[in-house]
Amino acid sequence: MNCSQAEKLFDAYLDDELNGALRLEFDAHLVRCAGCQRMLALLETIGDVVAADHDVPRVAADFVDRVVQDIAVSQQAQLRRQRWRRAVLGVVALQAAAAVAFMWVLPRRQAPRAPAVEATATEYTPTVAVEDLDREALKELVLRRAEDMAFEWHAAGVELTSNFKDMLRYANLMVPDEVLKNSEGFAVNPLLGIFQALVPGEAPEPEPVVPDSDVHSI
Amino acid sequence: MPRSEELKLIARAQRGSPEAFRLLVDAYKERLFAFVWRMLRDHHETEDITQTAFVKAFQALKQYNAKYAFSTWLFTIAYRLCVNHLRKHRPVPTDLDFAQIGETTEDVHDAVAQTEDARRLRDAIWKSVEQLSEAQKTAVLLFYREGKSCDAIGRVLDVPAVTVKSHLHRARARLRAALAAELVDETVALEFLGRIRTA
Repeated sequence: MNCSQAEKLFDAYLDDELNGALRLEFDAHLVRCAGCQRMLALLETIGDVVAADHDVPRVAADFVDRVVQDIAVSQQAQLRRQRWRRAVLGVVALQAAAAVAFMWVLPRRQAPRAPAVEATATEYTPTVAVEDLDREALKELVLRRAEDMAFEWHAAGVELTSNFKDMLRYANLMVPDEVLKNSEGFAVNPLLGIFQALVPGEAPEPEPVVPDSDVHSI
Repeated sequence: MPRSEELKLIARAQRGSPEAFRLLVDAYKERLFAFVWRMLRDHHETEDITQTAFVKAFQALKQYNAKYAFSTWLFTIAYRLCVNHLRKHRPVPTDLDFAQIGETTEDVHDAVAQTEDARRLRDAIWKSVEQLSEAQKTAVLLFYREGKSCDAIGRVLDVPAVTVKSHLHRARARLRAALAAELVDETVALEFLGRIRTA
């Protein structure tokens, strides 16, 4: 074993991880090599000096008292924060309850809603089977009828339904059952959902602008 | 303090007993103070940081996992406070405050040799340790002064044990290189080292 090889084993020796035949080789080299003896002795001395560290200032005599006092102060501060938080939450809860009560009472004082208007087919073209239409015509029809219906129902004060079958009946559109089933999830605008189910992959045009008053909920 | 007794104190402190926590502070204050002082080298900052470390330990006591040594957990809190402090304030080298230095113990085996040459080498060793990086210094202090394993040191530094070994290896290499100049003469050097190690 030479010095370079021995040096690589210093850490293992110092960490007491050098055993067996390798340890024997290492010891044999140390016996012969003053340079490695010196280096190893220096490293061991560093460890001994650090371990026997006496040059540290003394801890103040009242250190523990100060720590306990700090803890008491921080506990009191935490208690004050908790009480403040509870007070704030209490006020917020009261306000929320008042708001809910107000919203519950207010609608009951409004004029009763206009009865549901049964849409008729008189204003629309006759019932259309969608399979008869090409893509563009179908898109135009769906969007136009959606727009027309939105205005009509808003004017009548009717709450729009998200029931597809009703929507289809109102719009006088006939679609295959499987398309109807696939469109069940489109709660935002059922007619657009049907359109997407019929022509998958194509994004529909933006919905028509509705009047300011947000009566309906598609 | 035996581990079983320590665990009982910790359990009582977790239930809110200030007296139990006081006993824990008393048991660890010297070691924690020494570690923080070696990291910061400023007496007043060391007191503040050590005090803060104990307060934070009390506040987070419910999160302490008894699977690990309480000292490791304490040193982790102190180490992180030291690192944050060092990042905000560049350390100002200060001379040793000799008025505060404790007396050497009565135990002959622990006493460091008092000759001028031995003192010089000891001071040179500490001066070189001060030049190490925060992680290397922490590894050296916790390994030699606290006798902690590489796994435990890894928990303090939040790194794997193998990284701790790497820190120790590099620290030793740096210390060796820095102290080589002290060993001018082989014979004299061996004599110094022999005297220090057997004192």
